[in-house]
Amino acid sequence: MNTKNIFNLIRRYFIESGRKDITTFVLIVLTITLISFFSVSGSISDSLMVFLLFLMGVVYAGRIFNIFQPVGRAIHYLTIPASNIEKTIANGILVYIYYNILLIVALLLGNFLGGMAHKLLAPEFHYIFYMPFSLDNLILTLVFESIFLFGSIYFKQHAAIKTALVLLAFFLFFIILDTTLVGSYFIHSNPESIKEAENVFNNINGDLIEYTVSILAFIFFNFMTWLRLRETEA
Amino acid sequence: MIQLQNINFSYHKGRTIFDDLSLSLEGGHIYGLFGKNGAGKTTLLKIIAGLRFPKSGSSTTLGQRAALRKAEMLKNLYFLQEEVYVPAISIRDYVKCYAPFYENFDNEQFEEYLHLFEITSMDDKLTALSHGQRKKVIISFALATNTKILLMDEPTNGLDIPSKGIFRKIMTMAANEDRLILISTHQVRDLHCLIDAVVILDNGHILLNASADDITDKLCFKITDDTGTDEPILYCEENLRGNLLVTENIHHIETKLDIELLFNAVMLNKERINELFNAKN
Amino acid sequence: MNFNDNKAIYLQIAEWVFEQILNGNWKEGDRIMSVRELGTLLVVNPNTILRSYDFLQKLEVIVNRRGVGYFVAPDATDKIISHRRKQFVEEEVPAFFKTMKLVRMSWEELAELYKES
Repeated sequence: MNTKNIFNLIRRYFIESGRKDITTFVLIVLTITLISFFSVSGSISDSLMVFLLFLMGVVYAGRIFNIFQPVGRAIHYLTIPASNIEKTIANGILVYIYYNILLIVALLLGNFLGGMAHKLLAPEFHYIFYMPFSLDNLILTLVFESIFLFGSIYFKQHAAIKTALVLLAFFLFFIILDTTLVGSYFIHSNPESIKEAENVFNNINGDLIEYTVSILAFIFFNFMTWLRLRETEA
Repeated sequence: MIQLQNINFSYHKGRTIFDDLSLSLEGGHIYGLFGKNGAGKTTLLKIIAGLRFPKSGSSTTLGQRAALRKAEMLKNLYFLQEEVYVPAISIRDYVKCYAPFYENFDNEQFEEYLHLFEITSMDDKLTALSHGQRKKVIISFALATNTKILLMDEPTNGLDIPSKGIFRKIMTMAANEDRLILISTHQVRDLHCLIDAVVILDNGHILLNASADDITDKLCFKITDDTGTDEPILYCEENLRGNLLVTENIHHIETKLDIELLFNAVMLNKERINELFNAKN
Repeated sequence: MNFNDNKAIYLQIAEWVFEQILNGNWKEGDRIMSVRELGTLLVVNPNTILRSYDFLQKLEVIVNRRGVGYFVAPDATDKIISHRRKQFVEEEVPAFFKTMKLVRMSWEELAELYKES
C-alpha cells in the first residue's frame, strides 16, 4: 500500500468534483438556515438531523462510486494506477471524513445563521446553540454511509435507490421478526419471566453492545466494498 | 511482458470467445492485432489489462497476475479505449489529475504531441470537445505516460484524415526498444509501415503471431501481370494494376508486407499458415 | 516518403539513403540521423530503420560508432556505386537484354542511343 497513491486519488477527486461540492455545500447551508429560522426554538430537531445525514450519505456515496456506467468510465477508473485497497481507502476517507466534516460545518453554519436571523427579527427570542453531533449519531451515520458505499459499488445502476430499498426491506424483516417472535413469546409468558428478562437486559451494558455491533458492521461493509471492487470487471 | 496461457473465456450468455488461447508478446515491438468482427480483440486487450477475468488459464502482465490489477502493473500499462472517456475538466486539469500516477510522464512530450495534433488550448473543457479532439488529447496523454505497455483499441477510429497521418508520426516518436505497443484495429491502411509484428485472432485461437520480417521471409506479396509462378499461391486478388498475389517464398525474395492480403491469405489457408509459422516449435 | 508495393520497405529506405549520399545531402564522414529520428521522418517503425541501417553497415556505406551514432563511411560513394553496379548487372541487365532481343535491337542501335542521351 502506497500513501502517495491514496493522496493522488483524493487529489483527483477534488480536481474533478471539488466545484460540485461547493455548490452542494451552499445549498445545504441555505436549507438549514431556512429550517432553523422558521423553527420554534431556532434549532433543528435531532430526528431531522439524522434524516439529513442519511440523505447526504445517500447522495455522497452514490457520487463517489458512480463509476461503473458507462463502461468507458468503469475502464477508466479501474485502470487508474492504484490498487483496489488504495481506491477503497481513498473513497473511505472522502466519505467518512471529508463529507462528514463538510456536513457538520454546514449544519453549524446554517443553524447559526438561521438562529441569528430569528433573533434579529424577534429580539426577545432566546437562541439556543444546537450541537448536532453526539457519538450515537456519528456511529449511526458511519454505518449508514458504509452500507451505501457498498450498495453503490454492488449495484451498477440506480445504486442509491436500490440500496435504500434493500435497507428498508431489511428493517421490515426485523420489525416483523420482533413483533411476531419476540412479541408472541412475551404474550404467552407470565409477568415474572418478563421481569426476569428485563433484569438480564439491564445487567448488560446496552451501549457497549450497540457500539460493538455498529463498528463490526462498519468494518464488514467496508471489507465487502473492497471485495466487490476487486472482482469488478468492465 | 505479456503472457497468456491456455485462456478460456466466455460471456455470461455462453458464447465461447477464447478456447485454450495462448499468446506471448515482448517489448520493443508495435504489434497489430487483427481479427474479424466479434473475434474478441477488445476482450483480449481487457484480459491483458486485468479488466476481464479468464474462466481458466493464466494472464500475466509485467510479471503479475493481470486480474489482481496491482498498482505496479497499472503504472506501467495504459489502455486506450475506442471511445475514450473524459471527465468534465480542462486538459490542464486532466494532466494535473492523472499525470502524478505515472512516474515517467513527460509533459514536454505531451505538449509536443498536442501541438502536432493542432490542439492549442489547454483550458478547453474535455467534454466540450468533439469525439475526435478528445481522442487526440487522450492518445497524446497515453503516449506521454511512457508506460511499458500500451494497449490501443481502434486508435484511429474517429480521427480525420490528416490526423491519421499525424497519429502515425507520433507513434514512431513514441515507440522505443523497451515499449510494447499492441494496436487492435480494422483500419490496416492506418498502420502502414508502423507495425512490425502481426497477431491474428480467429475463432477463439491465435492463428498467427509473427514479426513482419518473419512473414516476408516466408511469404511473398507481389503484383504481377502474368499469373505464371512456380511458388504455391495462397491468395490471389484481381485489381486494376494486375494480380495481387500472396505466395510461399521459395526463392527468398524480400517483398513488402501487405497486411490486408496477409489477413485474407491466412483466413483461406489456416492449416498451411500454421505449418509454415509454427513448424520450428 | 511513398513506398512502392513490391520491394521490402527496408530496401527502399536503403535506396533512399543512397540517394541522399549520392546527391550530396549527406556528406561522407558526417553523422546521420538516429534510427528514431529517421523513423519519425519517414513514418516507419524504428525496427525497420534498424534493419536498413544493418543492411547499409554490411555494405559498408555507413558505420556505427558505439554510443555516438551512425556516420556516412568515408568511401560511401564508391561502395554505393559498386553495390548499384552489381545490382544493375545481376537484376536489371538480364531483363534489359531480354527486351532488346524481343524488339530485335542491335548493339549499334543501342550505342547510337547511348551517345544521344
